[in-house]
Amino acid sequence: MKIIIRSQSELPIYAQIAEQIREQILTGTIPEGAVLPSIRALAREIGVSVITTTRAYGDLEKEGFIAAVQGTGTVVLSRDNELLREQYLKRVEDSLMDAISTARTAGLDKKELFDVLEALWASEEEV
Amino acid sequence: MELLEVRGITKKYAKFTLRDISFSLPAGYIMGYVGRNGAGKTTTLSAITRLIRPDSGTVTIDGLRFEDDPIAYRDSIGYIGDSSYFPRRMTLRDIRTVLKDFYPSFDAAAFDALAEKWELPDKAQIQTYSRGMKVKLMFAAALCRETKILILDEATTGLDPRVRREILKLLQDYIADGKHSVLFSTHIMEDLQDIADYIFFIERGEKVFCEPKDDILESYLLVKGGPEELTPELERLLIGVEKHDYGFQALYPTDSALALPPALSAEKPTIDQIVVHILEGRE
Amino acid sequence: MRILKFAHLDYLKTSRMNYMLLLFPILAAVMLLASADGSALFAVGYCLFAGIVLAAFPYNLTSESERGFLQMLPARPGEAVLGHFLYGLCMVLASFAVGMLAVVICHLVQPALTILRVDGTDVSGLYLALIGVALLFTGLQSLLMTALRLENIHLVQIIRIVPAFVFFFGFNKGLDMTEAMPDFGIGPGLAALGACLGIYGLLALISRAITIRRGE
Repeated sequence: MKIIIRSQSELPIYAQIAEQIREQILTGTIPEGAVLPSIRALAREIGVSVITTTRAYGDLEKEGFIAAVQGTGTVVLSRDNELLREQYLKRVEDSLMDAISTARTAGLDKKELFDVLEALWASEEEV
Repeated sequence: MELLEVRGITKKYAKFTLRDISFSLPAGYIMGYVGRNGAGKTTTLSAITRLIRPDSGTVTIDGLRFEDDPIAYRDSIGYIGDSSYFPRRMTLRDIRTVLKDFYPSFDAAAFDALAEKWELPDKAQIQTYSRGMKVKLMFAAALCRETKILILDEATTGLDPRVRREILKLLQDYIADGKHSVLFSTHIMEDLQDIADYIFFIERGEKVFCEPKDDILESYLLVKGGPEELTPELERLLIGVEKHDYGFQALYPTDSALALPPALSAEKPTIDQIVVHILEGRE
Repeated sequence: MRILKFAHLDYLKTSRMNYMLLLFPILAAVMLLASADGSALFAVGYCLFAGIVLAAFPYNLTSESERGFLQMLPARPGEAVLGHFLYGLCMVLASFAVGMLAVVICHLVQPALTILRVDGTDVSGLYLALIGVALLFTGLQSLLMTALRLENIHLVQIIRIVPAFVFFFGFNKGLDMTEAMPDFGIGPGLAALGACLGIYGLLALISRAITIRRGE
């Protein structure tokens, strides 16, 4: 697991931590079932306050990425988890909204947008 | 009930009064106690360690007041100050003897190990120690026995950054089991910027605020702009405006009704900047 | 007991100064042997003077921040002061012991030098009385040190020295008076010592009360 805090970042530290862990879970860098360091161990390791890591984990828990398991610690939840799907869905929506808004600015119509989508999907499948 | 509860501490001196200081610190967290020199940090801490007796108010550590059991109360505090309190002609060995005599939970082996790790000479008089060594000795004395709370009064002032980093790591180790807490007074706010969970800001003997550090950081933005961009409306809203010939700098409360003009530069402030601007705003 | 531990702490704090315990008897012995009409009583008194001075060291080797160390130790308020008094008692007794030792050695060297009888008068009890008087002054000194928390360090140092020097000049004068004195045997000596010990204890308790009232 990799966590890097950038003080220049616009995001508060807890948000940076949450985002980085979220990314790594979504990309599979942190596998499901993996046990994350405890809130306090993480705080000590990266040199931030306990409340900060608590909040980061709290957010991730609410989003359905992790859960505290008695006796084991904080565990990464399986990726077919319902809440997780919602997260993925939201990201897709956000990206598509971006695409739509850009398309409109560029003067593309719906059909042209769909064509782009189809082409991209097809090339992804070949990879 | 939290590990440390301070309620209504008041202490009057000829030229200074500490007024109605109250706060609590739950077990497992670090609270930074910040303020200018002379604002009342040391007085507050002295009232908690009972180096002085407050005129009114109560302090409980794990539910215990000093009056209930002075021995247990003193035993539960590990204190590290900015000057060495060890009798200066004593040696490390003498101090080990005294600590063993008075503190049943003192672990002499751990103490020796720490002294060796930090290269603290065994037979030299304390007065020959450098400042850094004296602070390390105070830490060794506090860490090698069972305590509930560590109280630091400007303990890191004057130490080089490497040693300060070491000490901050020690503090985080100390709270790692969630049962111990640290109260850390300093005017070097970089030390608190990262590891403090709560910040208590005191000025002229009174509380300015006591909040979780993350909340404080989110409550303000540090804004900068050109001189023309500082409208009277904006100036009333901003905190601690510093003007110079080519621009200004101030704190902007993020919960303001007035939106921040996009032309201005806005960045996350440090605790230091927040404190400085709030102090300026009060002048 | 914690009071013992405080006295032990005082010893650890001041042990570098304890060479005085040896220095004074040697000086006294030299003076005794050198003079024609030396008084063993005087020699012992001289050593007791050193004891009083030594008893003060735990106080003057303590700066403001070092006082904090004492106060932080887990003990009941007042126990540290009682430790000081116990240490003082030990210093007086120790100085008496080395003083007597010096005097006995001088007697062996110069048998003409009498210890317990001077010109036919029994002065054995005076030795005990001297301890008592030394204790009185030590107690007074400790009480002053406890009660006076003065800002001016020089003033404090002067006040500290006063009881010891009053003792010194006092017993000098007192000894002159013993020229024409009746027997003062062990009995009256013990009585005097006992009374002084009682007063010493009283002074200790008063000091303790002052400390507790101050909230330490």
